[in-house]
Amino acid sequence: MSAAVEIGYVAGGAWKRRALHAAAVLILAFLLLPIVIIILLSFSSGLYLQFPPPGFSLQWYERFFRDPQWMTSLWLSARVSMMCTALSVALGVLASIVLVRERFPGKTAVYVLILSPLIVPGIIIAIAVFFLFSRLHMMGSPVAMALGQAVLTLPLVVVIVSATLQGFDQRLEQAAIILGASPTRAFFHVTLPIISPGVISSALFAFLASFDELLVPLLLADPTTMTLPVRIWTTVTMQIDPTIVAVSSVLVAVALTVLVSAGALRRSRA
Amino acid sequence: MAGPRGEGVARRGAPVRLEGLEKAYGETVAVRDVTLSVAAGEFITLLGPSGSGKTTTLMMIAGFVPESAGEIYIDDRPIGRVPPERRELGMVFQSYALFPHMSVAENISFPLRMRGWPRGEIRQKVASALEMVKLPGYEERAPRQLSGGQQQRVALARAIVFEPRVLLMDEPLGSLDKKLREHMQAEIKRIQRQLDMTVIYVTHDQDEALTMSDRIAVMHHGRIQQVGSPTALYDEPINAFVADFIGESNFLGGTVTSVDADGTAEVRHASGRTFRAAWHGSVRPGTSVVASIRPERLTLAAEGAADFPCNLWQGRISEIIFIGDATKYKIALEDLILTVKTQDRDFGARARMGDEVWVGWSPAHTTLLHHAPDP
Amino acid sequence: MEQREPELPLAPAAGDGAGGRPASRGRGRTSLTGFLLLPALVFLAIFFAYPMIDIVVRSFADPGGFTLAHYGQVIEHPVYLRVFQITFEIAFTVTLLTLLLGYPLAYVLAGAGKLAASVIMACVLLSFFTNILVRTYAWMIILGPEGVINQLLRYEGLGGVKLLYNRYGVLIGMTYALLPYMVLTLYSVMRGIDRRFLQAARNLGASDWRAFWHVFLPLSLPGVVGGSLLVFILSVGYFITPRLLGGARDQMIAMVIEQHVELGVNWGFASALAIILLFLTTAGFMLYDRLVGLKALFESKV
Repeated sequence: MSAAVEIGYVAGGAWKRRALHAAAVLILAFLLLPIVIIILLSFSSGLYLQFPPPGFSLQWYERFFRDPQWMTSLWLSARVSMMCTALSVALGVLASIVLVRERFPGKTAVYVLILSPLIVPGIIIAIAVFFLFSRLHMMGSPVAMALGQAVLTLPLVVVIVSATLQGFDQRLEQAAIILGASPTRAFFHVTLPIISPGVISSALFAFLASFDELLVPLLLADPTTMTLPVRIWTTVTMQIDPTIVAVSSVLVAVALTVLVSAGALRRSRA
Repeated sequence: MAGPRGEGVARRGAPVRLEGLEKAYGETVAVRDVTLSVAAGEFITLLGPSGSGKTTTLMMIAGFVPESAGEIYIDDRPIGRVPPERRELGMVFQSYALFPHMSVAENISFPLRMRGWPRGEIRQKVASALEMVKLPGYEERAPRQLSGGQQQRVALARAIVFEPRVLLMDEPLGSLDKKLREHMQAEIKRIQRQLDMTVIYVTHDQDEALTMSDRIAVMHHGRIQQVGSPTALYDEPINAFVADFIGESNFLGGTVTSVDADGTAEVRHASGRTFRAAWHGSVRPGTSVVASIRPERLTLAAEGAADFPCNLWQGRISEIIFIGDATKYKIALEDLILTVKTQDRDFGARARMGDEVWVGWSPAHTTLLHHAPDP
Repeated sequence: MEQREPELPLAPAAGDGAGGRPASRGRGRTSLTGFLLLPALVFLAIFFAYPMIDIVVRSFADPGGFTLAHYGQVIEHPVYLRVFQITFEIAFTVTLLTLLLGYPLAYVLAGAGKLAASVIMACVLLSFFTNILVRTYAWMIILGPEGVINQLLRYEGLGGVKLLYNRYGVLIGMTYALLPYMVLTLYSVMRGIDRRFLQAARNLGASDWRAFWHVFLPLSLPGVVGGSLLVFILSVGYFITPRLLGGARDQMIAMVIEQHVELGVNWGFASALAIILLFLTTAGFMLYDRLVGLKALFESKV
């Protein structure tokens, strides 16, 4: 394989280049195939997960959107994710301001504390949060789920917003202040509007991460409070229900929306 | 018209006084013992190389950098405890700091909105500020649609629209090309005179400082080296740094051999040659001194002549540099090189590398420097 | 976790004199901004730091007080040692597979034109950001006894294959899930390799193969090390994919931890396992920091 690999850079035998590109296309297909199959099957008119699908139908979507249990989970997921996003963006933006601008002893330790949930295995954070809320008798609480998930999304927000703040020219804020704005007004009139693409995209990614999170709500859920991923999980581990393909396609659509919006934001910034 | 600021009342710029201002970042001292009085309506420039503490001093006046020691007075009131937004200072930042998400009008009206001015009055004020900077009708443009010079004008309009009595400018012309810079220098002076503001201007460009300022404070290593009018700094620099930073200079070290009643002293250069220099202050025989002579104060001649000034040394041309309106010659004497700048085209037509020439200069143009304080 | 200041992604901005702190003012009114950090710190202290300490405490506690029994259990029972063995086997194989697939793709991506590169990047990112549960479920549909592959095989008149609920399923699913991490890490390094090095090597007489082997490969090594380490560390803590695609003989650490918590049987033991897993992960990331620098990792997460 490697023999063919360098052809992308220097002239060489055409067959090597073709072999390399063919390999790349196959690997890309491997990356996309499962997602494509899910989407294809979600529009299938077959009664089971027949492949190739015998015809087009929206039956699985209908089943998903008509099922009160799925809808309860969808709504719960939306609520939990919005709480989680609001919390982590608020805390993350404030923290980023200090982390980017101030020097203080222990700054490294604060960084490590904030960013380490990105590194600690998900299962450990999930059981940590589970132990805490079982002590607090908050099992099944959507608020508990949002709080637990915010541990995971806070570092995402801090990373994105800090990077944005780093690119922000502080003289703009100084200009606002010397022209008569209090630091708070300067922040809301000048800094926030200018860094808002970064803040919004951090919110988008935080929402997606939270909406997709399984482990934290899995351990916290009770039968009446199952987020969408938790309901998918319990359904998948019990039986093969083709409704899942429709639910999955909805989740792919959510991810796609987030990616496209973040891309558009990035372009608007440039 | 009776705005909240009391339009129509004659307003003058406010005097600014810095007393023993100091800024230390841990071990490093950025500004030390800066004391400076700026008169109302004066245009003063803090001039120095980068890292000389001039911007830090300006930022302390603005209130963005807390001073480690000393006090700042505006209009004879100490402002150490006044936050920047209530110091009522106009400021033009390096690279302008125009708010990219606001239109020109929104940028200029910002200080007025922050002060709660009524809307109609704001619109009038913005229009007249744009008038003043010669950009009428640009209200709805976005900053990024403007050229560098136009952005500069908007930044200026924004800084003066609320009629501050003191205007701070931090290298405001740094990113403009030479032609535009000279044009804007004149514009800034015109507006300053029109509004009668006190201006504290920071730059590293000595030409800019010499053209624009009433007085210049030359800074180096966090200290003010010398304060004075452009001509005073140029003609009577107090030390080698000032002499070298403001224009170019030839430095001759030596020992005073005699002091005469006509106001000149004879100095023996290290090479054994002697020259005469004007002196004031405490110069006694035996004092070691450094003399500064501007390159354009030296004259060149192929042969010695009777009308030549009394200091006359001989050397060889070692370098000829044509710089447009003048020509620079490096004249090598055995152990030193003098730089001469002359507009004498006749001399230039005959001069060749290696030619023996006479270098002459007058004692009146020979400034004895105090030794530069060691940083 | 040890991190050196310069490697953090967000070192404070400091400039000539101009970079002073904007919100700190004259004497007596110094920085109120520090308080803005407080909410995040309090939040993390309650909902992250305290629960983590709680796990440590539980791992050493039994009703009688301090104990090492939970850790002892791991060593005493061959079952659990076997879990660690399986975990490492799987993680190692997955690392190898992602490297094998990721390297050529990253290579083509780094050398591709603008359009091709953005298409490839879009595919990688879509996969990266699609819910892991969805991606795993897709493989259940594809690999299952009545799945896409077996349906197609049967259609061709061939016998079925067993790819689900065994090691094959786990390896395919995890390789798939972790491939984007590998590609993105490799790409970030390969993008920085100057192509002229290769041209120079060819110009100096190296064959295309030797130019690759002696020039490109060594230069891309930081990406190989970083990507492999990252995928390995993530694999060791993996839960969702092996749980759904694996069989009884593919039990990994995270699955055992979850079981013990879920069933409520032995939280102390689960905690001890979690601490061991955390220790392994932390060691892995410290190595990563030493070799590649964590800064790069956090930036690529965005």
